[in-house]
Amino acid sequence: MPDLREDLERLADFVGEPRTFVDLERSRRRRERRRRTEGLVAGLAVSVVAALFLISTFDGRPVATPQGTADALPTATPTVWPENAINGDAAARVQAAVDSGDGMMQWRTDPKAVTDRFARQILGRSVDITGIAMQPGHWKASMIPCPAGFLQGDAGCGNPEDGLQIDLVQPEAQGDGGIWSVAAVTSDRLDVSIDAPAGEPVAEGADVTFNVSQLGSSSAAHLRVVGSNGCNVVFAAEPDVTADGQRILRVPKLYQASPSCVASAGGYAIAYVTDDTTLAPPDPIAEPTAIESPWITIVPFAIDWDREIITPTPSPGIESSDPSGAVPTASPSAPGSANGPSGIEIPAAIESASSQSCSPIPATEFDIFFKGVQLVGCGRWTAGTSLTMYFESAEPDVASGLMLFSTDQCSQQICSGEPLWQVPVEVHQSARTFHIDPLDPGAYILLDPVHPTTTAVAIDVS
Amino acid sequence: MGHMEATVTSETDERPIMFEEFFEAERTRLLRALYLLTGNREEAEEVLQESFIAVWERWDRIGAMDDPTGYLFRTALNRYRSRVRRAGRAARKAVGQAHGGDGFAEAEDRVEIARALADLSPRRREAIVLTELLGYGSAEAGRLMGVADATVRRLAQDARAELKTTLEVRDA
Repeated sequence: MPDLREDLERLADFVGEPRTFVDLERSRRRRERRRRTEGLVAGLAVSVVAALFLISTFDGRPVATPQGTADALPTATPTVWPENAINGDAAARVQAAVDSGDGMMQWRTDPKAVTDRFARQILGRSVDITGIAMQPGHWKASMIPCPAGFLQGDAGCGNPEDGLQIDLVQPEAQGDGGIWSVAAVTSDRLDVSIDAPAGEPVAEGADVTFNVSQLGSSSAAHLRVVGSNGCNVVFAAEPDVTADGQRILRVPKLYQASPSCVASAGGYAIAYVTDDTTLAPPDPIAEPTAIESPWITIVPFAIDWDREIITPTPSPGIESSDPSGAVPTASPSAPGSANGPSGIEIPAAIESASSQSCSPIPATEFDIFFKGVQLVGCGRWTAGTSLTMYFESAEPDVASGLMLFSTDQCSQQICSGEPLWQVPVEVHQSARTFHIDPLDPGAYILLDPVHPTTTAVAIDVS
Repeated sequence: MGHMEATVTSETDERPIMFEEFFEAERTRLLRALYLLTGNREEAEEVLQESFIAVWERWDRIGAMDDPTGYLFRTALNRYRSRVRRAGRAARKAVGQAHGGDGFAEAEDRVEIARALADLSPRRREAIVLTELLGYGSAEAGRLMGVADATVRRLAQDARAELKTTLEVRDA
């Protein structure tokens, strides 16, 4: 195809000119702002899926634990794969499926098969198992991950220095027929220790210490702590680490307890390594990615968390004095719910804000600095234009969200009804970016339902 | 915001290479390549910005490399791949249709090869873009893709064959 290059050049001509260096500078500034939270970045997403999954799976009943069954382990052992605290920890259901003869699940009764599948799905590699130690209900193996293209057992399958240890447990029933789950994975180069007695639940805020060693010059380590109470999934993360050394993260606080949240909470600390040019996902267990280096350490734990049930209390004066950011909205873990808040108080200045006092220049991008700058003001948007919003919290461990109301929905300093647009209430220590679709001309109020008296803005769209 | 300090000198005039110069020199070429890879201008621009920022943040080190351009393109390829993986795993059309439009589809009326290129697997598309559009040899393209040069040759050859077949079928 002698004309192929010409065709490609012609096609590429359609892309036009890239944005300028000024645009790049601006993007970088935003990125740096997002990282500016005491060296730690936390991301959080309200895991409605997990809650719904649990509700549908257990029909509101407490999660089954192995306690009380004759052949069960004496205490529930946190696991990381396939079941874990983030995805609903439905080991009991899997065990029941195996017990009922479900052929698709029989591989779960073979620890080697579980190890193989874990390696393929999470590491993207096969493994050469070099040693096994087995005790009732506990299987431990040393393994060398094989690079893509090598088969297990091939010479050159992997470097012994890249070896991993993997621990499997039988979370439901010991012995033949009991399912196996991955309980921990350890790389000697990525040490993870948790400031809590072995086997005991970890307190919210507990230190998780990561030690990275022998990191290559073109590699980046990614350190995460993930926790969930069945309603929320909370991350603490260290930005890409490109040098050996020690870093400390804290087990994030879990929020928004509701009857649908599970009685137990848990999570895992995870460290893994990629090429330093790779964009690493928040949680490679939930979102497998390319792990160019076969180093990974995962330590699961239960979380001893505050089970306070937050009831819907949309009432005046809802600015929370509780540093945990108690959430006043109804069912905050169910974004899009038909049951909107019955009323949220807003500052008088916002309700009475006149578009005349806003900047005459319509914004196409909007920065909100929560707790860094008290945001009570007004803005002007152009009708029919989508808007990008950067929402940044300068204070960690505080729940926040966004709701957009028409001023028609607000009177006497109370906004009520279903928001026109909303961002679920989350504990989100870093910045978030939102895109709001074009709005019709009119007057709107954007507020943080958790802190509406300090974070609210009147918007004029024209 | 001040620009990163220069750490290297250019081969031609021995003066320091500023990151901004590097950006200006590479941005168009990278965007064109990413556009062919993603099929979407906005997606391509996002990957470009992510990649340049990543390089900028490490410019002290990368600027001193023999081939900072290679590092940039490898970064961009990895970030593009991450998006492809995420899009695939999340069953979302995040790449190529992320913003409500497929640029290639829009271009189809004008350039028939657009759709054929979009139908290629990501790896074949990478190989053909690197070797044909950017003019890299198979060894250099292999370094950027993280595969052997023989693999690049095979992927590019397969891509050419697939493009040829696709275009012939559509012409028929």
